[in-house]
Amino acid sequence: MGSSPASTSLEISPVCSECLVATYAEPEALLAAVRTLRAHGFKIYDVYTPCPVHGLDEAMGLHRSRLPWVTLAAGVLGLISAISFQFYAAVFDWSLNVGGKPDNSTLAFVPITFEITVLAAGLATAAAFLLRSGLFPGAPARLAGPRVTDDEFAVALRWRSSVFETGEARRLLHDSGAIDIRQAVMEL
Amino acid sequence: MTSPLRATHADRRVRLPFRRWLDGDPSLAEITDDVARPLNAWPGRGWFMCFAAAFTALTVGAGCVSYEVATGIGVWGLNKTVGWAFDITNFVFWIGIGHAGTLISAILLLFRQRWRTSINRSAEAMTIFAVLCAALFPLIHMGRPWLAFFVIPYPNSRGPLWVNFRSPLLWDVFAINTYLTISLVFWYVGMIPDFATLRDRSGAGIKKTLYGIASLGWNGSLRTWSRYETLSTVLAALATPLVISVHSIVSMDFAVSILPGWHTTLFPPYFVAGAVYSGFGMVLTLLILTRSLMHLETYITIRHLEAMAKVTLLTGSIVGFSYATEFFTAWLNGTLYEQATFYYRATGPYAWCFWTMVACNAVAPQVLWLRRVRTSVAALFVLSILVNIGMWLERFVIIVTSLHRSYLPSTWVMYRPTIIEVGTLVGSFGLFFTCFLLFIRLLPMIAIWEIKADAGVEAHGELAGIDVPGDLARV
Amino acid sequence: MSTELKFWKSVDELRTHSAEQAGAGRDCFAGQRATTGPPPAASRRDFLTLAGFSLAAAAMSACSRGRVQKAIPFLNKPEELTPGVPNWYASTCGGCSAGCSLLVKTRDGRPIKVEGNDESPLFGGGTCAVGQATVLSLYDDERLKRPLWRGSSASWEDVDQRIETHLAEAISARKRVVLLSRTILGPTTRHLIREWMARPGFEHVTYDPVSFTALREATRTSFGVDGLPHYRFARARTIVAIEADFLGTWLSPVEFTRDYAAGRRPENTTGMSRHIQFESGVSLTGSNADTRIAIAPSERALVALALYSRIARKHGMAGLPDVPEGFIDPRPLDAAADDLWRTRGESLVVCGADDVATQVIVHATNALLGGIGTTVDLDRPSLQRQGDDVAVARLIDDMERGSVDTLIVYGVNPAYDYPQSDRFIAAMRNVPLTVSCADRLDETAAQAHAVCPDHHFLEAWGDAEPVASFFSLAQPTIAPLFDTRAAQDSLLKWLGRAPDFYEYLRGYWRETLYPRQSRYATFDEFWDHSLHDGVCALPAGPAAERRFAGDVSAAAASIVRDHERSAGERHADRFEVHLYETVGQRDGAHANNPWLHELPDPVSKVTWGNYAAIAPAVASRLGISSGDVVALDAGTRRIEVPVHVQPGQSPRAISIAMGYGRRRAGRVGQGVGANAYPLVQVVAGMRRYAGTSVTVARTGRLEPLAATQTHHSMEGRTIVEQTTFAAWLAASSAGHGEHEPQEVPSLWAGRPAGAHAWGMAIDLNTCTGCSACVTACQAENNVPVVGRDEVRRGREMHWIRIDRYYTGSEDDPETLVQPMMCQHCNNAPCEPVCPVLATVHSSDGLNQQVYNRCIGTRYCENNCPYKVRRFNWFEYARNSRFDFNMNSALGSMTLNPDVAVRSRGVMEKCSLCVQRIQAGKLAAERDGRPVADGDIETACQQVCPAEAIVFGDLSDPNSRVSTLVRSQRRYRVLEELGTRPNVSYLTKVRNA
Repeated sequence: MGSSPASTSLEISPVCSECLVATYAEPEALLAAVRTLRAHGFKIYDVYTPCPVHGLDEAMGLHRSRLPWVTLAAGVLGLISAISFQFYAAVFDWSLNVGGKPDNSTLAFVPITFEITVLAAGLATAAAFLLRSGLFPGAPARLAGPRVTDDEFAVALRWRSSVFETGEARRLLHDSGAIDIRQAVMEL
Repeated sequence: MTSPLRATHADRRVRLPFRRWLDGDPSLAEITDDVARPLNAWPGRGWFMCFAAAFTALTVGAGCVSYEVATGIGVWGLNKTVGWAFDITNFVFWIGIGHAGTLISAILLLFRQRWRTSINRSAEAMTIFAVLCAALFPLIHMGRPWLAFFVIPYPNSRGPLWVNFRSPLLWDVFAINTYLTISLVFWYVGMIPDFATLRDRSGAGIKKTLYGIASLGWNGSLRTWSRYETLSTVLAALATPLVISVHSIVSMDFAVSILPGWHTTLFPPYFVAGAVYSGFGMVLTLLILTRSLMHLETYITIRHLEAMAKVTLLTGSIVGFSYATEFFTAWLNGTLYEQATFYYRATGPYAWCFWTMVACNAVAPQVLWLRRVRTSVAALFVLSILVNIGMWLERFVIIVTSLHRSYLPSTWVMYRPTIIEVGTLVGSFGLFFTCFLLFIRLLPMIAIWEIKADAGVEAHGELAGIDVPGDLARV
Repeated sequence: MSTELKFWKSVDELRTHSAEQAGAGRDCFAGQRATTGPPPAASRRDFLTLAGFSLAAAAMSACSRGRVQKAIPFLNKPEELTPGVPNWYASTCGGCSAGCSLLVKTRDGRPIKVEGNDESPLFGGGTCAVGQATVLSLYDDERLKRPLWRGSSASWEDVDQRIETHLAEAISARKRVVLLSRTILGPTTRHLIREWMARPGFEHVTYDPVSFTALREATRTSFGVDGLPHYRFARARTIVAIEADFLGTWLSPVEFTRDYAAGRRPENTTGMSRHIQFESGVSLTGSNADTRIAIAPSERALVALALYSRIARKHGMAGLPDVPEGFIDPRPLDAAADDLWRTRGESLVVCGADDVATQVIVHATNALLGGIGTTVDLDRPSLQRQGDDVAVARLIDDMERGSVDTLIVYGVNPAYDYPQSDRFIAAMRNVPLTVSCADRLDETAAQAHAVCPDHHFLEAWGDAEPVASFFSLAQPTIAPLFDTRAAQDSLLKWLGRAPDFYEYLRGYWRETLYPRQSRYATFDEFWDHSLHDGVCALPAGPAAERRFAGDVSAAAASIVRDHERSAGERHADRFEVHLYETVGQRDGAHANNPWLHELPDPVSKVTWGNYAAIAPAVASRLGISSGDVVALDAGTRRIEVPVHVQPGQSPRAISIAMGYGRRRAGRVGQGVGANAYPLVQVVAGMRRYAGTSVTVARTGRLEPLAATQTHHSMEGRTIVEQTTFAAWLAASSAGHGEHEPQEVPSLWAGRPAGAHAWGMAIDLNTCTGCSACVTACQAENNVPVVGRDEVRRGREMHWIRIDRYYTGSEDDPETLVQPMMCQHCNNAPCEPVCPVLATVHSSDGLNQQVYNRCIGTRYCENNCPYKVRRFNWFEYARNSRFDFNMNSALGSMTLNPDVAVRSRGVMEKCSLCVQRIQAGKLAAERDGRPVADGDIETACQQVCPAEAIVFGDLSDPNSRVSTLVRSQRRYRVLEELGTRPNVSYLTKVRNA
């Protein structure tokens, strides 16, 4: 039937919407389902798994995360600020004769600079991850199914009346070996 | 790292021979149950006995420390010549212990050593607790811990009043704090999915609320997973140089000085190897205890122990080689003072410490060449204890024998520890084990999601080759 | 603090006289009396004194933490007293019988430091450790605060009334009233006592705990001189000392050290004096000798005899035929005789033996060597140690017999230090009235009916004549702290005179001394100048022709007799006891002074207690090691002391220090060590301090000695550099061993030079190791006392220590000493390792320690190659665990307000007396001139009688320190490390 061309990108709407959720016991089944669905032009909203499943990213056509850029930026920032602060304090602000050593004992500043760099990079990356993934203490857990964090794998389809009327989606899901298919209103 | 998961209940038996890092063949739900079981069940007698012992030790230590802080460092055995002894020995010892945790969780992650998954969580926990114990000693060894904030370069109204960025002790401050912070982040991030799992399997109640808060609303979304794995890799990549830098800096506390026996460029690699060595010793001790205590033989298999034994053998040999190198350089450089220091280290009043140290660290681990020893839980346990003793003595020997007889013979003295110092050491072990025992009751001591992810990986022929423990040489 | 304070007695005189005494008078303070009591007559003065006290208190509280004390500002500032500016008063030391001249530093009305009076022709600016510590004895809480009658406190009126009535009866009944005193150095007091003895039945007996009766007797018989010879070491080019520790404890150590050091500088045109020591124990003097021969006490006489015999032969006389030979290796004797003869006229033999015959022989030797009139001055004899053993022994017999009606004990403590003290105590009970003038309830005072506490010498007027026609005055530097009274005032009172010794003193000087001088027109002028200078030397009488008139053959005969007798009882397991005084404790009078207990013995480095020094060979033979407590059994008398294995000790002798084991000295002193006086023999009334034969038995107890140094070899390292005089003449850089003085190349450009470059040079040749600098530093820099246990743990706090090393064989070692304090390295290893910059370098070369920044990581201590940093392991001030001077408000009065009292957990070390440097710079700035060389003296430099320590500005090429640093002998300890210390040392040069 007239199905829209497969798009490699996923657009996520912030609003609540009605979804079609299918759960699988096997990651392979899930993987297959995802491939077929997307081949048939269905827009998969998201997939929920208890653990990372190899190949899913490709199947879903996900971009590589841009977190490392945060790491880099924060690291460089930490490095520059650490070395310049030490230089300022030891040379400009408070130049003292410490054991006859030169004010600018750059080599001696290296260890602290390194530590600050790592600290900044690590914390920034972790923070960016939480922010981007909307994880924070007390955030509501929107579950696709009661056991998706245990031993079930779920795929959620956005409601598309034109498609679902045909029941094609249900059929594909069923054929792909879903152990349960239901309509759910998910606050996604 | 991701890995395709093929563990179907149907064709499980077919793949049994490939399941090289798990004994038995638990389903995903079983894995969850096994790991979560101790968190719900009431602890057994064994746990309570251990906890009682640990907590008593902790109380003793707390008493000793309060007495010392109230009275003065004089209650220790230090004197005009020996300014550090038990305090800094314990500090370096605990920092060293911590390193195995980071090594297992970060470095082995980068090297895709799958066997780490069963033990990395508890190893990381061990790191945190060890670093806590370590950080305690610089604080109390000043005698007036309330002045510790002097080492922080904070803007102040006393005109320019900064700290000395040339001092290794200040490097320590930054290194230890960074290490503790990054380790904590790594540890916590690793637990988020497991918290979610626990949240969803526990009925409404305080537990669910707490796990709910801790899980930050994790719902297993694929997008989060994908970022999550990037984060893990980044943190691992950061923690790897960090762990090496930390112990290098700790070694510089000594290497930067002018004291014969301390002043040597060998120290950074020597200390890092020693740290990993002692760390693995402690991991062995802990896991051999807990796997039986918590009935986790399925997940922490004899092969895990054997792999760790190999790392121990490797690092132990490096340590032994360093001992030899120290003496060689002392002989080679021909400095009177240096030679005297090492002569007295081996023959002086503390010679017994030195030779015990050599026996425990350089000789004992060589038995691990034998597979029979590597695969005997009892032997490994005894050995791990020896490693702990030997590595504590190593720091004591380095610090005290170098200090008590340095340049001017008129200042040569003997150092004798007091009961207070011993009590403080005992207390630090108490703190460590108390924390660890609480950890295994309150938090998932095995990374559930990683086990699940890895449970089927050996099925992959192309991967199977990677997993022979021999690859450890690449660690 | 005292509960009731007397106000100044002679207000009127004070008004009329010169600024010095007026200052002395006004610097007094009246503490609680002024605050609580009714307003006194002289209210302005009283107010000022109160203000003075409050300021002192404020100054102390400034040194302390958390204790706030109110300071009441001056309403009218007295012209002499400026808060924060010290006043100096000339005085005379009462520490021992030498009577050194002092300058006393008072701050805000309290003496805080004594220093030598450099205007004194005898003593110069130096003092000894005991002298330095006397200021602490002033603030001793254990001093009696008011008179006692039969053990309970009474008023002066009451006590005087009882004593006077008793004396009146005694006079009417023609009974004997005996004054038992120590040697009286003061001519005025001697005059007073002559007046005293004019009374019918009144007698005076002089008693010295450590007696010189033998030497005194020999001098009388040989030369007809009443007194001791005044030895002039500066004039001697060969010195032979037989058991005489003249640098440490013998007669006048400060003067002798000064003179001795003058002759020991190799740069002298006349060359360096040669010093040969025959002794049984290793004394400070012996450790400095060019040649030291260990002998048994019984061989001292033989050595003297052998020397005499050799000199006599060289002199062409018939040597003594029947002199026993071969008791020791004759070669050193021959060598000594040769040297003495070669430098005859400039040779000196001194002997500390306690029998007359030996001293006669020694006198004869000096006479043969032409030393009389040059090295042995008999025209101005020393007036010390006038004690008469026989008279004392007779007195005790009389007391036992009950023929003594009144006994007045002044300045001595025979109930402790007389060999048969128990006899003396028993005898005291037979005396109807016994009065003690002790400053504390000591062993004797405890037995007396009345105790009339004497002033501390810093509270009293007085004078001294240690050497004939050489006078030194003493004036009060503080109002009496307690309700005490000068002993002289007491005597005057009991004689029915006005109790006003000040007036009496002036009277005596007016009548007797003023006429002998021609410099000053009026007496007041003479008096004021003498009081200001503190010293005044008057022309001696006409030099008489002194020829030796002693009976050598008789003396020789008695010596040989003694020798044969003692040879009979010689036995392998019997040892000869050799009793000696230590530099710190001397005769035991200062037993309650913690500074002196903490002072390490210059040779053994042991603190807090005495010990039996035993030769290593003997120790191994008996299986004894240091710390084992042994029982020394002399038949009737027996004492138990720990053993100290002393290299160089005579295998036949066991040396034990007197002055320990006080039973009633005070909290600090009592029970420290064992009392060795009972081992003194009394032979025909004469006290013999050596030769008592004892057996040694182990008790099995262990009592580790509190030694500040436990390793005694240099381990083949060049730390103390030494060379021989011959080698030095050949190459003046001899002794530097493998490291010539060098600048280790630096990786960095040097830092810009400051206005000064403070530095120090220490001449190891003149430094004797007497340790006066250790106590001086303790007094100047508020260094806490930590006590025996802490010293055992290696935690003494001294900022300067004297390292002592032995070289050579264990039986006959050579001793080297080296003062060691912060070297103020230009590349200081302690500085870069401190995380909080608590120790940094000043622009003028000082390694500074910032106490309130220090957090106590102790890394600096670990990284200091000289190990001169000291950590405050506990709170040492105001801590009952360290119940020494700093734990009492009174004891804290010695604290130097210019130096912070360090608190717990803080590192400290030598600051090169930075407070003195600042004061010197301020003074120079005030006068608008640059700091001149010599303006600034560190405490250790100032106190050194040998002037071995020189401090100054290295950037000034003409300063003394710069010239010394340019010397070829100069080297720096561990300079190969590249620390570039600012403290230099000059190689030790010995005669081979």
